[in-house]
Amino acid sequence: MLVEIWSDVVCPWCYIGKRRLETALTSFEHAADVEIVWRSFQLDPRTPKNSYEPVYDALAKKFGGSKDQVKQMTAQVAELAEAEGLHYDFANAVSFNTFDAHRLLHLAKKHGAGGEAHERLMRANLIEGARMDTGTLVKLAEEVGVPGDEARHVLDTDEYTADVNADIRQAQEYGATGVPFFVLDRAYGVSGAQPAEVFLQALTTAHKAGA
Amino acid sequence: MVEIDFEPPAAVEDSPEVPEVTPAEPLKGLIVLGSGDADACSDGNCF
Repeated sequence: MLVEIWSDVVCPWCYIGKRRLETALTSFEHAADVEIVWRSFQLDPRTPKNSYEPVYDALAKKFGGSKDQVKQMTAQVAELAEAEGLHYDFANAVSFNTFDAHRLLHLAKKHGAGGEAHERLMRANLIEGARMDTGTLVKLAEEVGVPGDEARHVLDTDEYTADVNADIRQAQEYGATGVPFFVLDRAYGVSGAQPAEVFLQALTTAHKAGA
Repeated sequence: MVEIDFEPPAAVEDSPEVPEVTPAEPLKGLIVLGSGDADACSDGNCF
């Protein structure tokens, strides 16, 4: 069974959704037959390239509130993430344009490390408060087994631009406006970070249909 | 005695077809599973 997941590495609900899907897979008896493919989605393509701004400041600007109001906004998501074992650190998280990160993720996919790379980049951004510049992206790619010289080459060029755009276009064709969203066997869609039970039901439904 | 020109209602099978009310389909071409209001980052807003 093919499970495609549209996600952005700065998306707190995507990381939560990833954990909930993983929980569902531990109870799914055909989990060994599931192939997960990560697809690119940019939450905010208008974020300038090479701009690294604290998330609290970026959100305060975007929504016109104070930093304290932004802290309150993020607190609920942080609390739900804790329940999934994810210790978000919004106070140190840095906003950045994720297009190059997605190009790097396509390189990682070529090396069979698409899932590991997605996890590593989300962890770096949402939990470790990393500044996701070129040097950091190369280091993170190396950590999941992507050769550093290849990672740097991709980031220095425009390689995989077409692949990222194709993923985003496919999301638009489905009519998706948010992430995460999950497509099972190109037949069933699940929007958002649903409870693990919903993912388990969806996996079971898709498996029965394809059996 | 006044005669009323009464026209009986049309038979059910002659009634115009009432379109079924279907919920909006958020993902085109897919069968949507789960609730439609799950937590997600939408239009750049996560909170």
